[in-house]
Amino acid sequence: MLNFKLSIRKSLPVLCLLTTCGAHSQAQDRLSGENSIHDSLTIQEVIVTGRHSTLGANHVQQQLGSTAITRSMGKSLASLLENISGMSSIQTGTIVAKPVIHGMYGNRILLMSNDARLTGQQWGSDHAPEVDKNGYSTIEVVKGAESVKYGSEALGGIILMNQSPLPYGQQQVRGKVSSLYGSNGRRFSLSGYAEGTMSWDRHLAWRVHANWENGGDRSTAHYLLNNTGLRENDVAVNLGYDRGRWRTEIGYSYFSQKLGVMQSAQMGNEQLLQERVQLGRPVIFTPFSRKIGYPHQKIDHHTAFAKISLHNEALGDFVWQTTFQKDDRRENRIRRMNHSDIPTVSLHLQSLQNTLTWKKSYNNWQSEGGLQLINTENHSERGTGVVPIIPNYTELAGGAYFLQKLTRDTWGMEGGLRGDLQHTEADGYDWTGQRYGGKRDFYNLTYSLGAHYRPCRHWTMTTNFGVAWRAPHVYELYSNGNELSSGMFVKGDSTLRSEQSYKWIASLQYSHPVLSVRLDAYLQWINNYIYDQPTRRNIIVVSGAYPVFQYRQTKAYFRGVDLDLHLRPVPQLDYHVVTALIWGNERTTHNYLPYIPSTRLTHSLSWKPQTKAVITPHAGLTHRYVAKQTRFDPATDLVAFTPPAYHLLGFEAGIDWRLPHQQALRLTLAGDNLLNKEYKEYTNRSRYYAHDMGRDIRCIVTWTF
Amino acid sequence: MRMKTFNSILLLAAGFLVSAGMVSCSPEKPENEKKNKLHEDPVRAVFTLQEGTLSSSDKFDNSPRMADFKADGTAAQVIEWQTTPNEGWHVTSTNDKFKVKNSKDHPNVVYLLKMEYYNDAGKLMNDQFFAAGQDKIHQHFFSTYKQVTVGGSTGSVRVSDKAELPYDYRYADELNGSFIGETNPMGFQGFIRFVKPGRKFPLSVDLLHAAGSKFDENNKPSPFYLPAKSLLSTGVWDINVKLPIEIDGAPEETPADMIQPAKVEIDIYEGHLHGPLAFHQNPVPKENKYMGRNYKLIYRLEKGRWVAEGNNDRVSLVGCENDEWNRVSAFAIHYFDKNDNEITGRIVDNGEDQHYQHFFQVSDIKPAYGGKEETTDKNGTDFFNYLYCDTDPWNKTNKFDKASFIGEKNPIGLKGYFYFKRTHKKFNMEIKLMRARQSKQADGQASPFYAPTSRQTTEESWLPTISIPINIYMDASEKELKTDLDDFDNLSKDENTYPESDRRAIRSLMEAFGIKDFTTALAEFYWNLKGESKEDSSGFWF
Repeated sequence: MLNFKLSIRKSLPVLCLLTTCGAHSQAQDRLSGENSIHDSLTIQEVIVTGRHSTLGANHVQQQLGSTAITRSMGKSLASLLENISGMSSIQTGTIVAKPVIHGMYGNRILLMSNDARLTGQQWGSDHAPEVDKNGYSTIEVVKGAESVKYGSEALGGIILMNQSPLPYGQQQVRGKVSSLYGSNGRRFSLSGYAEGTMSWDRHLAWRVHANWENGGDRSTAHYLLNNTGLRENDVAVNLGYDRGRWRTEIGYSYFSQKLGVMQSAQMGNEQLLQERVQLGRPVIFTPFSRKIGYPHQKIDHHTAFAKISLHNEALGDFVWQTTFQKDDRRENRIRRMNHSDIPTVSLHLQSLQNTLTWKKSYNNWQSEGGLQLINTENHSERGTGVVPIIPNYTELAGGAYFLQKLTRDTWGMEGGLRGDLQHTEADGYDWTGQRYGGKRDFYNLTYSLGAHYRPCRHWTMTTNFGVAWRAPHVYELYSNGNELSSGMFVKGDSTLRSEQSYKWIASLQYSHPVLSVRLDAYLQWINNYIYDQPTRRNIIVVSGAYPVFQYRQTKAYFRGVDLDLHLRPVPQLDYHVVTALIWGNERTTHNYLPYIPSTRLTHSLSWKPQTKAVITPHAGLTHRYVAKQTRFDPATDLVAFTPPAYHLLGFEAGIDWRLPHQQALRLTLAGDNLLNKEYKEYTNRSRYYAHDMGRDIRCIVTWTF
Repeated sequence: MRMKTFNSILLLAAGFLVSAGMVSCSPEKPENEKKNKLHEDPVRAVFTLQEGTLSSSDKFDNSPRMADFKADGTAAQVIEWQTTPNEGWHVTSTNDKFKVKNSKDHPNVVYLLKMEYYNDAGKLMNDQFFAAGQDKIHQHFFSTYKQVTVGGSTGSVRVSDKAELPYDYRYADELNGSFIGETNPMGFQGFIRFVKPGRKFPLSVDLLHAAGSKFDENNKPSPFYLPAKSLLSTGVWDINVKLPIEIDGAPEETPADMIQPAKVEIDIYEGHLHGPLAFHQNPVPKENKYMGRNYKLIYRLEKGRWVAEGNNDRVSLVGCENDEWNRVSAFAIHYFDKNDNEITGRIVDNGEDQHYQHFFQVSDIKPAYGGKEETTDKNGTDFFNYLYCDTDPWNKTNKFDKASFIGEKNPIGLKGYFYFKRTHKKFNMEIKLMRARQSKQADGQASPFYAPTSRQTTEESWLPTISIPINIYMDASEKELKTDLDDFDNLSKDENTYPESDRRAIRSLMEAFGIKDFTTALAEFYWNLKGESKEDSSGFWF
């Protein structure tokens, strides 16, 4: 029941409700099929569980916990996140996948790894995020435009990847080890972590994480995709010292990945592309192999951080974090004179981030402020003999922000303001031998307003309006050459201005043991939206004619609806539906924007008995339907048609085995594309010349100690 | 305690500032990778075509080698491509096409085609494609493309039927002094002959870089015009250029799908407009013998060329530099077969209207009497304009039969009118009829009247060109002299008494129609003004 009292304080949330009608439930992991909010009253104790939400209740967000992350072992980060409504992915082949939030990806999605921006080569459509998702305990998707706290590039949203806090004071060593076998690609994976404290000082905590993966050629439903193997080796070490008011943490992680690229993916000129599209699939196959030949990509990403926290009762919490990242990306293609070992793309990026934040809670208020400085330097390795498509560049970005929050029993609200400036310098040689580059400065002011209202324990409404910005990347400013992976000749525009986004999102949630529904709706207007538009001209270079795509700016308009529904007629059964509709247009011409995902619906039926037995089974079936994309502009693509609609079936079954001494064993057998359907996905850029993944059966064993 | 807290906060801030100060602002100095010895793209490519003969007439089909070839005395034709800073990769030689002899009329003529690739240092880099096993993964292909429509989509495909090719090729590569043209074809040198007279086409020269091997599972290479599917699927082109080829001689036959006329009649009228498309022939006083003359030109197709009938008049028309004068010239075209039956309808009926389009181009523009050379003297809308006024039905008029005008959306060119914007000009009007195999439209639009696309020019079917000499001898405004012509009998017969502009107009008329006598020409202006003409709806209408 809603009670209205005509007072200024109480009418405010009502106004928010009338204007927005969103709902949000704070911090529940809907995807594991678990009901993470328990209300139980016992004589001795009351147990309340919840999950910390990084940004708070005034933001539209969803979180995945460690169980969901472990169960998606063998899949990419983007594939894992597709279980969240409104999320999809842009793929290149069967391995490389970039997460998409409400139609936005690449430099419009901010990836935060342990409170630091992930700095890498996200501008590339065939560059996957350089992270090992198995090393995180929570992955949170924030769907609003959240520039105030995090700065630029959060136009579509933010993916917050965090490890759990170090186990200060913990007596025992705890950890988890998971192993995987996946049939598609005959891939093996081993991932695990251990954490504890030093026996001589329980204030000194540590955590070690490692991941290893080895896979061979993937396959579609009916044929092998030669040279699509994968090697991955990741390690992360964290050490922390907690002395009450002070806490100091340092850490280092190393991500190393080598992935094979199909030979068909080495794009040629327009005629060659047409001939490959006409073929539609590879025509020559060699037997399955784990060997990764040419072409391939090799990525090494180092991260080192130091973090000092100071807690003061009167003044609040201060945190200084400095993070250094080094990203080396090499792409080797088949080259003449047996020079394939010399990369055609070799980019070296270094960044140093510094953030100083302050937070103070008092009464029902919370104030937060911060300073951020990021310095990035990127250069191409000399002597490859291949003209880089982007110049060497540096970026120096600084920002300051302030947030104010008010939280009451049934409602809360917040507002924030931020100023940013960015200085970019670029210097390079283009394919004709001409020197190019320049200096650009960008200034932006962003703000956000958010609120939530919980009139009763079943209903939650959340709304958020945020302004976000993104400076054009040097790729969009200065590129002038063939994009090796796409068969396009891309031309930048050095006069591009910053993108400015205005995103309103509202969420309405109803929670009940039998029925839980979450409906998110959003509108997003982007001024100066940057994209590469086909010019309908070709450029002749040495290897032939290529269609010219010119970066330009337009006014874009995105809107959509996400639905996430759980129906539990009995506690053991959970029927889960996730679906999303999205439209993206240019506001002036109403032309559709490229690579907007088509309508898709995923529903699953899972069974898990509510028992305290030592061995607990669970099982589930999943069906996904992806519609043919009809809202697209043929002129913005290399081909004038989209793949047909398709259905995919999946399953998962397993047991949880509680072992003594707080140990547990989980055995999971899961399968995707059970019927081995041959299909092509519109957002997979390899669809021009190959189909998507065939059947994949995964067996995962997880031991928690 | 407070001091301690303050110091702690200060320490945090200092740490932030110190580490934040560790910045570098300028990017690393870039390397110009074009100058690196590993840079694989040639900066210059030279394609040389040398005319010559082989040691025997049947040698071309029997493993011709370099030793069998003897150059004749003609200079080799060279097309050179180069990458330059501003223009990129483009043709830099004065010669941008190869003009060749056909093997039907010149059975002993073959051509040696050679490729030379140079790096940024000017060094020949052909050896890179032979050394260290690179010969096993490189091969030049020589192909042409044609348009096909599949499932409603029109695209370009490589010609896979050798019989359709207008040329034939033999590899003549040598490696370390040994002939490898048949076992290990590379295509850096080879022999080519051109088998279809009259054809113009772009020869696509593609240098394949195979991902694995250029040979199939039987160790056989692909033919010169068609790489195997496996090579198309996984290989890349190191180099790809289009070399325009013009083969001499008359086309052996009109393409089978083309209309087969024996005669064409072109009616030309001077007139004005009653609306954007409603042309009406000007009424002409019966006393005028020259001004306002209309024409019926007849051409007959003989040995692949249109030949004007002996009594074809030289076409002299009035132009209109200011379209307010509303003076245009209409052309109506009719085709006949060898039995003199009109077959114009075959261009329109049964959906053929979607394939046919007339194009009108001007060439060889020179000043006529009273004119001068101008920068607008070139084929384009600065010189002239044409509006397609085709009707549906094609043989009915809009004026009397209420036939609708379809020319704007479906330009065929059986009826239309010209604005000649530049006057006192002589030139050739070239009328060309195209039949597109799939559709004359691309992306829902037909090509403009004066400019078929290069693809249309080289790949579609065309009738031989009708070339009409035309003289735009004066502007419409000049028909009214400054001199008062009311009393013709008392007009001076001495041309020097007339203003310069009047003399220019009169002399232009004289030159256009071969009038020898000034007074006769003057009389034309008099009767044009004073003569009786029927101002009614008689005459030619669209």
